[in-house]
Amino acid sequence: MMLYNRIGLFRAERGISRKALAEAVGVNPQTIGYLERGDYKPSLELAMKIAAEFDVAIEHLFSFRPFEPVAAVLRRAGETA
Amino acid sequence: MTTKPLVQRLDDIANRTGVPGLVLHPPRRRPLRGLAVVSFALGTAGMAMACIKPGWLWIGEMVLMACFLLSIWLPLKGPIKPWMSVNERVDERDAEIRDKAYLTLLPIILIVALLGLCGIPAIAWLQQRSAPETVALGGFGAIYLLTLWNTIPTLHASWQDEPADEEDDED
Repeated sequence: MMLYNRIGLFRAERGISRKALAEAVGVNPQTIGYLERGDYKPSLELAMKIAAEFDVAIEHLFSFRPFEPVAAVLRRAGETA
Repeated sequence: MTTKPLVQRLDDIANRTGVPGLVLHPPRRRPLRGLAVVSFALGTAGMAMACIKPGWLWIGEMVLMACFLLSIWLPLKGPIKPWMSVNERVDERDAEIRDKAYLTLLPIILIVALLGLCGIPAIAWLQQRSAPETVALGGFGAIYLLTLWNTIPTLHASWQDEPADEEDDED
């Protein structure tokens, strides 16, 4: 089953490099790369560590359904504002 | 001119081989798919040569030994990180790759070992080989198993995962 994630988005938003995130959660930078591409499914422990690092709930980072594109979310927010 | 003690001279010789340098820094790991394929293919060919004809025993052995020596580099520089590594971080993904690779290897080694245990005596009987030749053939079988031990996990790991571009890790 496919597991979608928004790690790249959160990293870009907070200006964290893969290396910094990898050091913070105790893995190699290549593992963060594989995670972002969806080529590797993290363990629960690693997923929770990444969520804790970004200070978000784990559901905001990982999902079994594709996340809505940022452009669509922004457009909807602009329409409702 | 200072005279170095013998122990220090021996240390200098060891350092010149480059081997102590290997443990100071983490090795730069590569898929080494090509080397693993060559080692596996030629090792299998060498073992087959040793078994097919009595006259080819020592030629097969030379090929097999050369492949075994090549395969020694695979665990050192290949994609699989060792257990209890002192200078490399082995995270959960590395451990998963390693575990899957060795789980693939073990049934293969088991089947090849069983085939060897049954096949080598059968070959010796059919080809009327002498006792020393049969013992030598058994020894070559053990070397072939060691070659498989080095090559198959590397092949599995290198095909299981495409390596990530290191440039991607800079952002």
